[in-house]
Amino acid sequence: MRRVAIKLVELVVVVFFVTAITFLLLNLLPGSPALSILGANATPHAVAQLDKTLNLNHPLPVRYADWIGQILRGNFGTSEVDGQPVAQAILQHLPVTLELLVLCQLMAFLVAIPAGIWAGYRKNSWIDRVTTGGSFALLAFPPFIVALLLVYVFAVRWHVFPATGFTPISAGLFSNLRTMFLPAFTLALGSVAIYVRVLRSEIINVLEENYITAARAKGMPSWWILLRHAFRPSTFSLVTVAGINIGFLIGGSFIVEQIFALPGIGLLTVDAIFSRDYVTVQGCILVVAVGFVVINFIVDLLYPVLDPRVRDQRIGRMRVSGQ
Amino acid sequence: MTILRHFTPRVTPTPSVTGVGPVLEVRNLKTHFQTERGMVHAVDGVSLTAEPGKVVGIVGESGSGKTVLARSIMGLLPRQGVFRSGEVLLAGRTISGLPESELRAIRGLEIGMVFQDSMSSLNPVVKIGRQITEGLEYHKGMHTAEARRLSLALLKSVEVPDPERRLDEYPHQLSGGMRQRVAIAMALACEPKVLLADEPTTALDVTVQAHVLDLLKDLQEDRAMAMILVTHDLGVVATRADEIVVMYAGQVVERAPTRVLFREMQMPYTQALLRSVPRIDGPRHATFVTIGGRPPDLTNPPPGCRFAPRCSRAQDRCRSEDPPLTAGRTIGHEFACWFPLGVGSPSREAPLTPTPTPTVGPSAERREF
Amino acid sequence: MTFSSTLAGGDGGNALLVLPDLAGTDARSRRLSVMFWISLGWIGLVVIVAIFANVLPLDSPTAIGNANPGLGPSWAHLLGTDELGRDLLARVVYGARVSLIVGVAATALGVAIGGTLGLVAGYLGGIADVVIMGAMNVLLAFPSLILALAIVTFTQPTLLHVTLAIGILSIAPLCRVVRASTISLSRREFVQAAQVVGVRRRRIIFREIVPNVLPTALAVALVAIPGAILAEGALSFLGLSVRPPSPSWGNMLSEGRDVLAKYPLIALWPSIAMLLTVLSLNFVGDELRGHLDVKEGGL
Repeated sequence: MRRVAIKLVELVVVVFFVTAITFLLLNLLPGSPALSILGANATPHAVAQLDKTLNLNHPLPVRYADWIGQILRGNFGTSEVDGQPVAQAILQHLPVTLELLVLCQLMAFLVAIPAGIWAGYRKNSWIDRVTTGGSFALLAFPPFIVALLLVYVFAVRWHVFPATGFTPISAGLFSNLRTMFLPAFTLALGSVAIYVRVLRSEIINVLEENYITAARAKGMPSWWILLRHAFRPSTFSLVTVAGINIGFLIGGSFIVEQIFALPGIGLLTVDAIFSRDYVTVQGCILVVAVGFVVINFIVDLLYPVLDPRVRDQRIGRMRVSGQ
Repeated sequence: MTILRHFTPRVTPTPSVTGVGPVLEVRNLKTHFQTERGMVHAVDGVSLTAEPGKVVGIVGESGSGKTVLARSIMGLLPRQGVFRSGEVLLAGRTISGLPESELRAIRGLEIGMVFQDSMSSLNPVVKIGRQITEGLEYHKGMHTAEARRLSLALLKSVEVPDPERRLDEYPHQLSGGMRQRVAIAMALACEPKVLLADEPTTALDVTVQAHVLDLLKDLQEDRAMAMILVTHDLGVVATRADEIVVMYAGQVVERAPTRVLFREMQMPYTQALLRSVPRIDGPRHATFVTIGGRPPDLTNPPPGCRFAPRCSRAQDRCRSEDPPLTAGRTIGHEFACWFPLGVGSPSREAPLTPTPTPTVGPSAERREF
Repeated sequence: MTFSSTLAGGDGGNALLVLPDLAGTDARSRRLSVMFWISLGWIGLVVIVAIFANVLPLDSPTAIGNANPGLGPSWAHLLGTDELGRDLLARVVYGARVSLIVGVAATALGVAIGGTLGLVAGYLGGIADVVIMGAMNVLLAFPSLILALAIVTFTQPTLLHVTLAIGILSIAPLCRVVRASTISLSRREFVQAAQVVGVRRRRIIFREIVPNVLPTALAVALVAIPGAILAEGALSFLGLSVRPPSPSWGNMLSEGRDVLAKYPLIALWPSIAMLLTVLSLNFVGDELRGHLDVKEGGL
């Protein structure tokens, strides 16, 4: 419990700084924030109005507190560009990104786990070399190149998937998945490469441990040793990496969203950036950054679940040897 | 998870041990590793036998090849870069050439093994109970409940207190001594005919060592198992082994029934080993007797007796010709030496190797391993 | 697992820094392989060609109207022409310049600032360490590419700003690596010996620690460069780097995307160029790091 409390405090501190910086971003821009929000064509009168509305004359910490207060009440402000409440826009776009991420990670794990285990088990065999070499090469492929390649093959040449566009689930699960497949696959490739490498190297390390030899000495079959003895300890690193990766993908999927025209939060952010919709940008960055921190926090919480040694850390790890 | 039951290997039943003839025979076993520096002759022509109900103690320094020997018997060697020759027979049946799939049926069921460091030989993220029951489920096709009952009984027999609770605990929650007992329980679960114990107490406190060793001996006698006890400590095997095999640099240099060995040891190395065990009734502030020099490099070993560089009795012949194992006076006694110690008990001769004069005062005590 | 304490900044190939996992170094990497030299050769080729682009016998990358659009490879135009009739080979070569400049400069910035911070945090420990690592953690929490995007957009999309933005984002991972290396070195005997003798802190840092951290830092930097190149590629794909008609690999891809069905080759060449360059850099960096680890292990 103590551990959780410490982690919670860390979480709050980091979130504080993240929000503070996000808040400051808007205010660091040259000129009055109101001017930035309204754009260069704003009349001085409008600027003064906005100044008052946003209390821009008050000192920074007060405005920050105000802003946080608003956020916590669910009010992310209103976009000056299209007049929509930002919170609403975020709520509309976030689920799309989440669905994309879920699909992407499912695909990634489905491939990476067996491949990683096998490559680690059959180290230096041809299948290992192919897997390792393949994932190394995959790391060089940025999503925009992969996306173009996939679109060319599967949408232009063979019309299996749509090149762009998004169909919400409400309009039919199958068509929804059809529009999500290529983008999820694009992102999955990058994740697979990372996961396979981590898992393979962990499996190799674990297989050299004494308890694996002891299990072999008991005559246990290889498949059992791999799945029940070797896999579990190897997941610790995998979970860490996955957490970072997923946290990153929340905002990092925007290129894919752009290319495939998926109305996710990445696309929202980018469009907002391009249209100088600062309020929306602020809201989106806030959500994404905080989301990243929270996900890693959750991952941290997972360790005691996975590794029983960590559970008892507060008592002190190992008892003194002796009866 | 009772899924293992469905995969129990079909075993050719090994003829039951009738008490006649050895249950385990090792014939001229060689295990060489291909490394960048050359071929390492870790085990170089070792032969031994183990009889049901008897204990064979294998004694040697680190690097003598005793651990590799134990693993070679079990077939637990890496896949690549290993060269093996010689035979291992279990109750008359050759197991050394068997494919992995068949060896699996033998390990755990016919031969059990206890490792040195229980903290690393028990999986830290798997519960104790599961680590015992998995062997039972796989080899004996038991249901989980049944296996669990049996594990409980096993834990009781190895004197683990509060066994019910322990079954659901993890290795790090137990003390070193308890962990080793669990490891023993694991090895004995399927009632193997032979138990290989590789330095089972080296990682334990001295006070616990005796308990565990006695426990091992009791269990072994109860089940009329053959036991091979590997250790670097002559003291451990002195009272617990029926036969002692002394290994040096991958070879057997002397073997004899225990009493015979202590009475009539012939090989200078054996004597050196004995001398280097500190005695509680020896004179105070005596310099520790050490065996000067280091164990030889096992890569492409030169001809001649391998102990020659460290032996004060070595002559030219020792350095050029490998001494073969020759029979001693008593039956069952063999040794490999051109210039053995001779008849009679180990006398208080001059120290084997000139121990360099300590430069830090007269009562300096050097310890060397 | 020490992963998070060393390289947790490692975002995947999708992002800023491509950092293959540290633990993946096998003992076989004692000698530098054939692939290493091939990769090095390709990098060298790209660098030379990019530097001497002006004096090479290339067509102008921006001149329109000299040739028909969408031509396939021919002797006149080795890689063909794009949708406006510009020579693709020339465009790829000039695009290489952009990628290399940004890649190297941004990484250099990251090494300079991140490395210094890492040294300070690792050597001094205590409050300095907590503050610096805290700052890095906060920095890492932000979606890197979006942040770069924001920085570039809100200022001006010029090469300088792109470099700065990407550079800022490579500070954190490099800081972590240097810090980890510094910490482990500080514990080594030769540093402690210098401390006991009373050598001044600054001297210790420069004389003892920096020379030993440098190889590791450079190896990681070498792997950070392709990440920066990919980031620049992403930004220019979105139109935020050099402005057309100046070519960059990213904006060539973007243009190629628009005509993907008709002239697929336009997107193909910059893709290949970028992939080969990034792959080669990754490979060279990886092998060097494995090489270094082996040497360190032998210490």
